[in-house]
Amino acid sequence: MADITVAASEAAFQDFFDHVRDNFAFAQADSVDLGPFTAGYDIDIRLKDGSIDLRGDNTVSIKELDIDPVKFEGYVGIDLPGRCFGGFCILPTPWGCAIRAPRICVFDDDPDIALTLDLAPFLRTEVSFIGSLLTQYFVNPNRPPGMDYLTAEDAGLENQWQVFIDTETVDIDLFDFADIAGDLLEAALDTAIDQLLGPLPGWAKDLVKAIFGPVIDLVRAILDLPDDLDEWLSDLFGVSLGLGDLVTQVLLDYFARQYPISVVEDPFPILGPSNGLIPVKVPLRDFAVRVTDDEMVAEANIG
Amino acid sequence: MRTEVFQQIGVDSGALGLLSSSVHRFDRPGTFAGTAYVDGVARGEYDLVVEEGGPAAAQIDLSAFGARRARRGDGCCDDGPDRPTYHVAVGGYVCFCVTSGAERWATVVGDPRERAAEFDSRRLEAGDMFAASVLRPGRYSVRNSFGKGRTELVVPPVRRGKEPYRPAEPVRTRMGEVAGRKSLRLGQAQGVVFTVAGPTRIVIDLDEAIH
Amino acid sequence: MALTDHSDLYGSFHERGMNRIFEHVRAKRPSLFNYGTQWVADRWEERLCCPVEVAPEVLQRNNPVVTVEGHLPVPGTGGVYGLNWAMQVADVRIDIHPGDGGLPKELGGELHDQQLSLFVKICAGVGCPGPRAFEQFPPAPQPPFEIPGSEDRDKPDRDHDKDDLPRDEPPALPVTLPVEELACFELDVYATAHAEVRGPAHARTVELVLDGLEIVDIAPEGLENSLECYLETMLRYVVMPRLRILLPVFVFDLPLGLGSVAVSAAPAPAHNPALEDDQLKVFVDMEVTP
Repeated sequence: MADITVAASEAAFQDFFDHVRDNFAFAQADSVDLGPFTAGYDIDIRLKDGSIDLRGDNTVSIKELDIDPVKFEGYVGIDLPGRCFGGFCILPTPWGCAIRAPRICVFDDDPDIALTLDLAPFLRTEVSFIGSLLTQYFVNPNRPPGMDYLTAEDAGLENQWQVFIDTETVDIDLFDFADIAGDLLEAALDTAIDQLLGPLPGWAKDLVKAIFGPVIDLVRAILDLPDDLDEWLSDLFGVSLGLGDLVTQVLLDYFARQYPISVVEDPFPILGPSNGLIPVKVPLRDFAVRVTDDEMVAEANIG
Repeated sequence: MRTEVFQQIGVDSGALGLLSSSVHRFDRPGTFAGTAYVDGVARGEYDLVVEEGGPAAAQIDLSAFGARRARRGDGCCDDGPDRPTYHVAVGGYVCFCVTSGAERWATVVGDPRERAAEFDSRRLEAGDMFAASVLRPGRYSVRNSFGKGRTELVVPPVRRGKEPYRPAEPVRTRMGEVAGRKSLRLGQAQGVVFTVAGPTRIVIDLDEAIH
Repeated sequence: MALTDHSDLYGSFHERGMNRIFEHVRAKRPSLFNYGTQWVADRWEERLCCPVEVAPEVLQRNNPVVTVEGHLPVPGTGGVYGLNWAMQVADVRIDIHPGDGGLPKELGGELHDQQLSLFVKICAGVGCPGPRAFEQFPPAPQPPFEIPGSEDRDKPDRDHDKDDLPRDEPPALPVTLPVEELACFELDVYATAHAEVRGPAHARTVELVLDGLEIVDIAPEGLENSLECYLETMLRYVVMPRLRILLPVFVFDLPLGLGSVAVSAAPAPAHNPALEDDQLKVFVDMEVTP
């Protein structure tokens, strides 16, 4: 029998899980250059719902955890080819045009437009995964060899017993782009062109848009879009930008690798420092955590 | 984006802007001095050498003088060794145009030893040409400020189609004929080339916008 | 049966681990267990009555081994003379039901259900001065003896003599009479106690309640009773109140700043905390707060 035994019921574990879940917030923006265009994302996600199930095989199952996207936007940045007026022949001759009107271009350079796509509707928000409990002894990497425990404490470099949920490989297909993805892209293009032509009066916008032609066709040509637009979007954000993996990894790291569910300082403080007296700390040995159907049990001996 | 492109609502051959150009044929050899004006104020000078063996056509961008002066930071007409010289063949055509800015330009080209100008963009003479494009849909009037009569010019709005809009080939007409026509119809951004029969200053004014 | 059938959280502390913790505290905070005069503290290795195991870091960080107290005053010397002394809590061991045996018959011989015993070994001693000390430090000057019938004859001079009496001079510095070593003795003290949750719901405390106390093999009986009474009083007034835990404010932080957990005694178990199976068992409910 261990010197110290601590157990947390499944209900307590759920409370703890709820609290950890509610503290989750992840925001990140990134972009990649994909040759003819750039693509990026700007996301801010939280978590909600979900339950935790302790299992007799020493594993923990997190079920139906919902990703709550405060913001989940992707964007595609493209250079539209410039459009010009004039350039017609003023004085044609049998040998060709002798004089041409100058070409007056609307844009100094090929204009950049960013198509902002709200990806939230295409996010499969429910995530479930299973992990086994893993106990690790954490030696602070900044602690020089031979440093005694008191000096380490003064420097904030204490060793720790840490308990993690070691997640098994999880394959979460985060995106499910429906057929309406094409409409989404076209609407985004219209919005982008409107923003690009923002300072112009309506008739001028209409003229430029007419010269551009159906923008979706233009963009299709630039992006070399296949007919299967939803698959292209899925590939772009899921694979090229790795957004699916990123979100999955962030979740798993949060619940597992990054956030130990329990941290116990070693040696463990019994009496704090007082009036120049050193703290009284006791070494913990044989720290182990296990899970049953009903509870999580941590045991340790005093060294 | 060059928003000034869309500010060129009216057209005046005596005040050239973006989307309007005048063309003159030079038949006499010699070295001519040119002056570029904005609102009657000289903004730059240049030389035009008309010579055998020169290029059949030349283009003089009047708005370049505005840029030159701004770059040099000094007064007009002190271009010194930087004073540009253009060359054209005897019997060749020179296109006077504007490629940047919202200013309206005029130019006068002549032999310094002669009082009469060889070419004055404010007063086109027989054989000169004036080319323009109109972007804004509307009903316009076309008139010669040295003559009589006016003609309606209708520019209907373009509709977005399944294909990108490409303006049709320019309409070519003689100014005398225009005055006699009841109406002229152009697409947005479609060119119109007037050939001038006598003293002319072509003015195209917007009478009514079409939405 | 799960450990948390009656509560959110469960904790148990085996007596073996608790005794190990006592050892750590004795070695790393020795001044809590060793008291004596400066003379004792100066060379504690030689002068304390029982050897002390001190963790090296205590000495490396210049922590005291002995808490220095004043000397044991010799009554009647006006505080001028006193004796060196030392008192050590040389061993502390806890035994939770079922007992390991060895409980004095005065305490029932064996532990009852939900009871624990505490064994404390006390080493103490007094520095008994030798003849040389008595010679070196004579008693404080006393008023001259008054011989019956001599009052009238001496009277004219007495007022004058009175002025020379030492009691009108500033008091001498206190002197701790020098010794070579302490005269030591050891006491084995046993106490039995049980745990109770007391107080209103909003301020429940877990307290150790003393059931009995016995000093082994000390005579005469009156001295034993007096010492036991003294120790019991000290336990009731000093030690036990400090072992109380106010449950509603027993809060610990979650890792990485994720909040904190406030715990309160779970109402369901028959005994909470329970003292059984050589363990102290605690059943608590918790509330996680940001």
